[in-house]
Amino acid sequence: MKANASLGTVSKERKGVSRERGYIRANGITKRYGEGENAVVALDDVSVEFAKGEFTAIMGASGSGKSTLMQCMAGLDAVTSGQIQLGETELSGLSDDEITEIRRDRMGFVFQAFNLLPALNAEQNITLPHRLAGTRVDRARFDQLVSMLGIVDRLDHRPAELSGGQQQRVAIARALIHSPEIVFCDEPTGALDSRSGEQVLRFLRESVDTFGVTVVMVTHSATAAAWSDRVVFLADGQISGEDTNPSVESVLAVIGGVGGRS
Amino acid sequence: MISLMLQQLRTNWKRTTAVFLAVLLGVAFVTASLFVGNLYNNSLRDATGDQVLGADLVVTSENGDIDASVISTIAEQPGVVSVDNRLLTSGGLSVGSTSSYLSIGPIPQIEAVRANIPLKEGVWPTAPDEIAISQAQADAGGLTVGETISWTSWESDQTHTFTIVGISPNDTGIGMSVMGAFVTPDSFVQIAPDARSIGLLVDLDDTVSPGSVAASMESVAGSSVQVRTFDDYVDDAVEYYAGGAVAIQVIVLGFAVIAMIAAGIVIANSFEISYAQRTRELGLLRSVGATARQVRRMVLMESAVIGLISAVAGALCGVAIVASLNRLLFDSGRLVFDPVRFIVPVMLGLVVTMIAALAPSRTAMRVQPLQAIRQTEAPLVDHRASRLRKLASIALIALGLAVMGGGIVLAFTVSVDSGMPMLVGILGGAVSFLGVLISTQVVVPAIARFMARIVGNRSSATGELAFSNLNRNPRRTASTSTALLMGVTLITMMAVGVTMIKSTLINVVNTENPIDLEIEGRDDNGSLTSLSASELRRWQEIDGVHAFVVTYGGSVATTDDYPVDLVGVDLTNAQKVLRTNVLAEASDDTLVINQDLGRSLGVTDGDTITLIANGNQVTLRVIVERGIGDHAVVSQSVLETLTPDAPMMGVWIRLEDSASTGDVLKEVRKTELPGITLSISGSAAFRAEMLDILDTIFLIALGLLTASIVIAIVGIGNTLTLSVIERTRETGMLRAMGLKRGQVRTMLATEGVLLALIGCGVGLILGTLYGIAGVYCVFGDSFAVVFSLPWLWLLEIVIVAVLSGVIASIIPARRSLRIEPVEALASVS
Ligand SMILES: Nc1ncnc2c1ncn2[C@@H]1O[C@H](COP(=O)(O)OP(=O)(O)OP(=O)(O)O)[C@@H](O)[C@H]1O
Ligand SMILES: [Mg+2]
Repeated sequence: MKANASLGTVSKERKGVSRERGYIRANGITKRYGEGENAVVALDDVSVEFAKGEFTAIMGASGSGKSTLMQCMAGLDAVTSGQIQLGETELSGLSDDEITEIRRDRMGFVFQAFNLLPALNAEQNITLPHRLAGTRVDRARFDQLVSMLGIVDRLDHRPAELSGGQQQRVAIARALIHSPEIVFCDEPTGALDSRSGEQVLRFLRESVDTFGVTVVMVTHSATAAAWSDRVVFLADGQISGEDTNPSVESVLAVIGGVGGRS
Repeated sequence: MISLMLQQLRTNWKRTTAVFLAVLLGVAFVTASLFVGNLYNNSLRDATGDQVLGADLVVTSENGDIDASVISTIAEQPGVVSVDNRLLTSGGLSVGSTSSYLSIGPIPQIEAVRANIPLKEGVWPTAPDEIAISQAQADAGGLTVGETISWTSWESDQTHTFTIVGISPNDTGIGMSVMGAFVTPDSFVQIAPDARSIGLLVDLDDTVSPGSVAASMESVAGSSVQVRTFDDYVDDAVEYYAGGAVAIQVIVLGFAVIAMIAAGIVIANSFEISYAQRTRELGLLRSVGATARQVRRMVLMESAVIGLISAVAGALCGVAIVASLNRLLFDSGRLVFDPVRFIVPVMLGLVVTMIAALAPSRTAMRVQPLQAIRQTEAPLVDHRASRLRKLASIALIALGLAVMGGGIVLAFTVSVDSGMPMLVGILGGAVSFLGVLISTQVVVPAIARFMARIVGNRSSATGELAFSNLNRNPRRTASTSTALLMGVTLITMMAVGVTMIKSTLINVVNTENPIDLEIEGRDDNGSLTSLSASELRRWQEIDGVHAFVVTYGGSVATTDDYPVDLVGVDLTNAQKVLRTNVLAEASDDTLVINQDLGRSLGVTDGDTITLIANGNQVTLRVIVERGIGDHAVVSQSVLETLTPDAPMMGVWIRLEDSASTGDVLKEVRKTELPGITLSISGSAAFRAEMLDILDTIFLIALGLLTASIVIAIVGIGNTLTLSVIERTRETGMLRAMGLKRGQVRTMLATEGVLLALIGCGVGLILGTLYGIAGVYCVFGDSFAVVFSLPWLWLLEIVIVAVLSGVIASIIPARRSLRIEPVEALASVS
C-alpha cells in the first residue's frame, strides 16, 4: 500500500521535471518477443521517466522485464510499440547508426560481466568510447576517474589479469569517461562479493553527486538499491511501485511483497 | 581505430594462422611462377646475347642470303670498322664407326666478338687443318685437344681431316657466331665455297651511334635486309623464343590462380569462423557505440593487415624458392629482382584476402549490440542456403553441362583439329564447376546429414559426436570441404584424362604396329641376313622380355611369279608377342597380310593364293588384317614346307609393361655380331616416349596442384582448431563426464577425415566426369576412345584425403587435450 501511495505523490511532484540533458523517458512502451502462441510480453505498456542527476534502481523478480526495460531505453533493443525520449531526442524511428552514435556519445554501460575487450588493457578499454568517436580523451577526467576508482596501478593490465571487482571498476570508468548524460548498469554488482560491490556502488553514487550524471541500475539486492535516490519496482512487465526514499528495510518490505528474490 | 584493430589482431593472431598460411602459399606460388618465367627469359637473353656480344650491329636478311654488293655497301658506310660475314656449312663428323651432325663456321673476325666466346681449352685455329669444336661435340664424341677428326661436307661429299686445337663453348642454336666448330676463314672457303650467310656482324668505331648508323644503313642496303643494334637484336630474339616461355608461364599461372582460389575459400571460411567466435566482443563494441560500419571497417582493416603481411611473406618465400631453383637448375641464369614480379603477387594476395573477407565482414557487421549481453548465442547467419544460391547453382550446372555436351557433339561432328570442341568443353566445364562450387552450401550439408543417418547411428560414441559436430555448422563444413573438393576434382580430372588418352593412344599405336621390338640382322649392303640360334636364345633371357618368337624368312613367289618374302613364326608364341589379335584366326593354311600387300598380290580377305618355292607349292587362305606391318605371315610349318631350311631372320619381342625399352636394347646391343648390323624397329620406343610425355604432363600438373591441396589441408586444420576453441567448455564437460584423451583425439580425427572424405568424394566423381568429357572433346571420333580409369590413382587420392584429414586434426587435438576439465568449465566467455 505504501508503494502505491508514494507512486501517486511522486508523479504529481514530477510534473515540473525539465526536459533537458540527462532526462530520459519511456512513454507506453511494450516489448513482445516472438510471435503468436509463443509470444512473451516482456514489457506491457510501461511509462517511466528518470530525471537528470538522479540515481534510480530498478527492481523486480527474475523475468519481470528489468533488463528488457533498460535495454529498450538504451536503444540496444527495439520496442514493439511506444516511444523513448532522451533529452530533446526521440529515439524511436532513428536509424541504427543514429542510435549507435547516441549510445556512443550520450550513454554509458556497465553489464554484469563481459564488459571489457580481452585484447585491450584497462586504459585502452576505458578510452574506447573516445576512440570509437574519434575524439580526444579528457586527461583530467581520466585521471580523476581512475584515481577515484583506485585502478591507477592497473591501467596496463588486460582484463584477464584483473579481479572481477577491478574489471567492474574499469567498466564504470569506461561508462563515464566521455561525460555521458546517462549510465545504464545491469546488475553491476551481481558477480561481486559484498565489499567489492560496495566500492562499485559508492562510486556510482559519487559520480551522480560529482558529475551530475543520471544513473539507472538494475539490481536484485536491497543493499544496492538503498544507495539510490529512487527505486522503481517491476512485476510481469509492468511498473508495480516506486520508493523515493529507499532504505534496505523499505525496499525489502516491497520486494518481499512482490515475490522477492528467488 | 587502427590501433584498436591492431591490438585486436595481436590477441587474435592465432585465429589468423590459417589465413596467413593460405595467403602465403598462394602468393609464394604466384611469385615463383612469375620469377621462373623471368629466369627463363634472362637465361635466354644471356644465351642470345653471348652469341653476338661485342658486335655493334647485326644485319640479317629475310631470305637468308645477303648479296655481296650489300656487304660491300655496308662496309663503306661511315664509322664501320669491319664487317664479319657469318657463314655456316653442315656435314657429318665421323669418330670411329659413329657419325654425327657438325656445323662449321669461320672464326669470328671481330676481335670483341671473339673475346666473348672464351675457349674452354686450347687456342683458336690458325692453320688450315686446325679446328676448334664445341664442348658438347667434344663430350659426345669423347674428343680432346690434339685428336684428329674427319668431317664430310653434305654439300660436296668431300671428306676433310682436322686436328682439334681448341674447345669452344656450346652452341645453343639461336645465335650466329657460336657454332659446332670453327676453322680459319681461309680453310672455310676451301671446305665450303658456296656456304650461305646467316647474317653480318658489324663493328663500328666509337665516334658513331649504332642506332643512327643502323637507320641510315637500312636505307642504303635495301629492303631485303634488316639492320639492328645489338640490343634490338637480342630483344627481338628473346621475344621470339620467349613465346614458348609465355605459354608455359600462362599455364603455370593458371594453376597459381587455382591455388589462389583455394586460398580464397580457406580465408573466407577462417574469417567467418573467427567473427562468429568474436560475436560477444563485436557486440560489446557495438553497445559502447561502434557503428555497424565501424565494425565492418575494423574487420576489413584487420584482413588487409593480415593479407599484406602474409602476402609479403609469401612473395619472399616465392623468391627464395626461385633463387634456390636457380642455383639448382640454371647455373648460368642470373636472377634479376624485378619489383613488378614481386609487387603484383603481393597485391594479388592482398586483394584476394580482402575479397574473401567481404562476405564474412558483412556477418561481423550484422552482430547486434545485445549479443554481447545475452548469454545465449543467437545464430549469426541464416544457415539455410538462399533460394537464389540454389537456383543460380542449378542454372550454372545445367548450362555448363549443356555447353560441355555441345563440345562433345562438336568433337564428333566437326574436326577436333581446330581445338574448338576442346575450348567449348573447357568453357562448359568451368561454368558447371562454378555452379558446383556455389552449390556446396546446399549439397555438402545434405551429404553430411545423409552420412550421419547411414553411419552415424551405428558408430561409437566418438563417431556419433564427430558426426553431430559436422552437422552443427553446415556452412562451415561446406566451405571447408570446398577447397579440397576443388583440388581433388582437378587432380582426378587430370588423372582420368591422361589415363584415357594413354589407353586410347596405346590402342592406336598397337593397332598400327602390334610388335614391341622387331630385331633383324643386316649385312654391309643393308640386305637381311640370317642370325644364329645362340644369339637369339640369349636375347630371350634378357630382363624385361615378356614373350619372344623367332622369325624365319623365306623368299617365295605367287603363281604369277610375283616375289613374296614370307615370315614364318610359331603361331602360338607369336600371339603371345603381339599386342593385338591379328593372328587370332591364323592357322597352318593361312597367309596373313595387310591391305597394301593384298592389293599388290591382287587378293582380298578370304581369297586363296598359291605360293611356290623350290618346286614346293602350298595353297593358303588369305587373311587381310590391319597392322602386321608389311609382313606376309605364315605358320612355321607352312614356311618349312616351302623352304625346308628357312633361316632364322630375327625375333619379335614383347616387353614387360614395366620394362625400360632402352635397358633391353642396351642388352641386345651387347651381342657381338661381326659383319652384321642390327636393325631394330617396333612400337616400344615410340610408345614409351609417348607414355613418358603424358606421364610428365600429369606429374607437372600434379605438382602444380599440390599447392592448392596443401592449402585445402590447412583449411581443414583451421576449421578443426577453431571449433576446438569454440567448444572449450563442451570438451571440458565431456572430459569431466569421462571422455578419454584418446577418444578426444579419435573424435577430432574422425571429424577431419569426414570433412576430407566429403570434399574428396565429390571431387572424385566430378573429376572423373570432367576427365571423360575432356577426352571425348579432344578425340571426338578421330580415334576410338578406349575407356579406362586410373583405379590406383583414385585409390591413392582417397588415401591421401583420409591421411590429410588425420594430419589436419593433430594440432587441434593437441590443443583440445591441453584443456583440463575443471579449467574448461570455469572459463567464461
Ligand atoms: N531474446 C528474448 N527472446 C524471448 N524472450 C525473451 C528474450 N529476452 C527476454 N525474454 C523474456 O522476457 C522476459 C523478461 O526478461 P528480462 O531479461 O527483461 O528479465 P529480468 O527482469 O532482467 O530477469 P533477471 O532478473 O533474471 O535478469 C522474460 O520472460 C524472458 O524470458
Ligand atoms: Mg536481467
